[in-house]
Amino acid sequence: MRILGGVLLILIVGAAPGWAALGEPESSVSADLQVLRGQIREEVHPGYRLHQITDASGSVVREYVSPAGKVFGVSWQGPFVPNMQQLLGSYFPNLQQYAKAQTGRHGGPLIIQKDNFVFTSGGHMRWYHGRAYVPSLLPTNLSPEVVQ
Amino acid sequence: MRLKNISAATLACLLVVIAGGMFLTNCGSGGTGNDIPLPVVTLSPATASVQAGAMVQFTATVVSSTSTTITWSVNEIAGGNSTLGTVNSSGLYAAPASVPNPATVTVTATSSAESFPSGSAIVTITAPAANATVSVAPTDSSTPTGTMVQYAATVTGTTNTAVTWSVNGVTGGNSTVGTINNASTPGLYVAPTAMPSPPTVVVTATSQADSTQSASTTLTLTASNSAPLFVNFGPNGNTGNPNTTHYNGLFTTVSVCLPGTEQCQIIPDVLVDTGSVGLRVLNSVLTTVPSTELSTVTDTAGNQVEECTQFPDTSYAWGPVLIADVVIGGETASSVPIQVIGDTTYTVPATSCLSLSPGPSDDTVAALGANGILGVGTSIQDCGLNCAGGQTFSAYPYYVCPKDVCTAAAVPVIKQVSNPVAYFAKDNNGVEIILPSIPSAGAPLLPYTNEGGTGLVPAGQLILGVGTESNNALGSATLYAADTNGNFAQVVYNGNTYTSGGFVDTGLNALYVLDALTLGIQDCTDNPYYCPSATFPLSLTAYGANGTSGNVTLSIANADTLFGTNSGYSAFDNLGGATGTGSSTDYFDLGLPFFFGRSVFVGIAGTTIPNNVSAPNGYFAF
Repeated sequence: MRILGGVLLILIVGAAPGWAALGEPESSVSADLQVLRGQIREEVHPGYRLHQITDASGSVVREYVSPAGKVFGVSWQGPFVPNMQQLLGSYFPNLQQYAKAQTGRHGGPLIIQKDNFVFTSGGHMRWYHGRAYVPSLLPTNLSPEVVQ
Repeated sequence: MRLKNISAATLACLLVVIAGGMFLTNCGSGGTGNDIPLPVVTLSPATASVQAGAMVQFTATVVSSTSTTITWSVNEIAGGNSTLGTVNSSGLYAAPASVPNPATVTVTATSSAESFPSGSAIVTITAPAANATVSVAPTDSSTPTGTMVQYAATVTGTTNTAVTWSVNGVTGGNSTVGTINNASTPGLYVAPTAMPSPPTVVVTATSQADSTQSASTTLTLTASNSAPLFVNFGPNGNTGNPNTTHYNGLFTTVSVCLPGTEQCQIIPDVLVDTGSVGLRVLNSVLTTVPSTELSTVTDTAGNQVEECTQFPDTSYAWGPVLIADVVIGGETASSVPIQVIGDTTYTVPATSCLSLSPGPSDDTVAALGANGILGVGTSIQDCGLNCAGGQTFSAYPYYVCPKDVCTAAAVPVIKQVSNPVAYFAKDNNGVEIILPSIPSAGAPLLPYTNEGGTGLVPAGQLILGVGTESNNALGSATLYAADTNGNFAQVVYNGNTYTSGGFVDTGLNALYVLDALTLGIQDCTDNPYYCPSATFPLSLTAYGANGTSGNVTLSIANADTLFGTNSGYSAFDNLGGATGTGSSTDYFDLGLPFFFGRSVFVGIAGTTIPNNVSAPNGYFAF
């Protein structure tokens, strides 16, 4: 299983370098690491693996990977909003679509809750926080609350 | 016969009859009989023009050798009537309510005692002119001591539109209540440097054409280190849709000036935001101080520096960093870097700006919901050392765009968009936000009519400086040093300790606290707020990085009920919302509702702090 995942990983990296992350194979984390220019820490939890990238500014990006090898959730916290296009990959257009539908700033966080895409963003200048996950990619019996 | 023709010798016998007086006189009998003049009654004025419904007082002058009684008539009708007008026994003529036909009547005074000629006056009744009306602007405003307010008067109904200005009834005012110019720049009010008592003065413009017509407005003088705060929906108003209406918007007025000059533009409706740092103003509202006249901040190669400001709702502001003087209340931040939102040179934001902030561009009043944002948060610069070079991040806010290709740029901290408060000559170590308590059902637009009824007063005050003046002492407030993220060190709720973050922020419009599942309440189904079935008490304990702690008691009401009960209200001290979905969140983003009924200090990192407390990252105190 583990070996099979490794083989798959190499194939995908070869086929689709560059953009990565949410909904993508675990290999995409390394692309994020390159773009985000940080240090990575990896943790194994019951039911998922966590890659945590911390850059020199103190910004922390966490990517949550299912046993099937897909990034099912991401979160961030720190002085900058991370590159959302990098982090959300093919789900970035979902964010654009819903975020652009906002009419006028009225001073609150952004919460998007759709069947196929959940996103929250809040905080203040020099400290932003947020997370995104894809419900359909959640490992069985795993709560989305692990994405923090 | 005119009075002046009466010989001097008869003047001793001249009797002036007013009020129907009956004078008994016998002076003639004691005089030389040959000098007895021709008896005469004269009326003054001899002619009069009076508007329908108005009155005129006649005086009858009787020259007589004997006692006499005067009776009055209009067109020979004793006392007149409602068609011709009435005249009473005192000679007070009241014109009819409408112009008679013909429009001229004769008022006659007749002596009852002698049959000498009566005296008459011709009265022309005119239609009421379109009443001269006067109005003044601005109405019911406030200004810091030592500053100026330009008033304008509008006079209608008369060709002479000139007015005379007065303060508290004194033409031109005086040094105690402030002066107002009647000469070179009419209507320019100069506030006194010392606070008058009471602090509210009345400014009046009186029509020079009709001195009975005037307009007055109140002006409340505030301390020079204060600016008025208003709570309202902002320039977009109440849309009627809770999803797009900006409840609990906190606004003030600032001036942007060409550095070192008096060429300034007053900009109202600027959002006061303790959650950000630096002044950002829409290019579209800069008219008298156009952004093209402000000097640019450049990198070492001379390229104009652009900024992509990220807002937590994923919207963004793109535009250049420029140098301006910024006036808040009575104090000036000299040559401070600001951001002008909406660049005419580099109209296309950096590609990565759009990757960072996929939401709308806040480059119009409609999108921003304000004319600008005044960031008076806990730091001096909006980015700091992270943007000053030596590190390159994927999510940089500063860019240069040589040949229209934008790339991330390092900008020294001194050139970064900065907290204007830190640039004041004094009162530069933070701000105090003072807002009144409001009812749990909410409040309409603030300003509001105060209890004394002297006019509208601002909702609250933005006081500049902490512990620097008599009006901004920390007093018994608890000081919570911020952690490195600008947050409380931790927040304890319901026995659980949350270390991820908690902060107070006037730029947030609600109490964004945890999530509905964790609190055990309900999200509204049709807007982004909480809708608990009953008002939910929220008791927190906040901890500062300096080890202090204190209880914070808030409540969250049902937003649907709040909006439904008073659909026009803009201020709610119990409006809450979630920071996320599910039960995964652990944030306490305490927005404007927290500030009602409190005085909250926001201290700037690296400044002098009262009481020698260590707060290297700034602080909140309340």
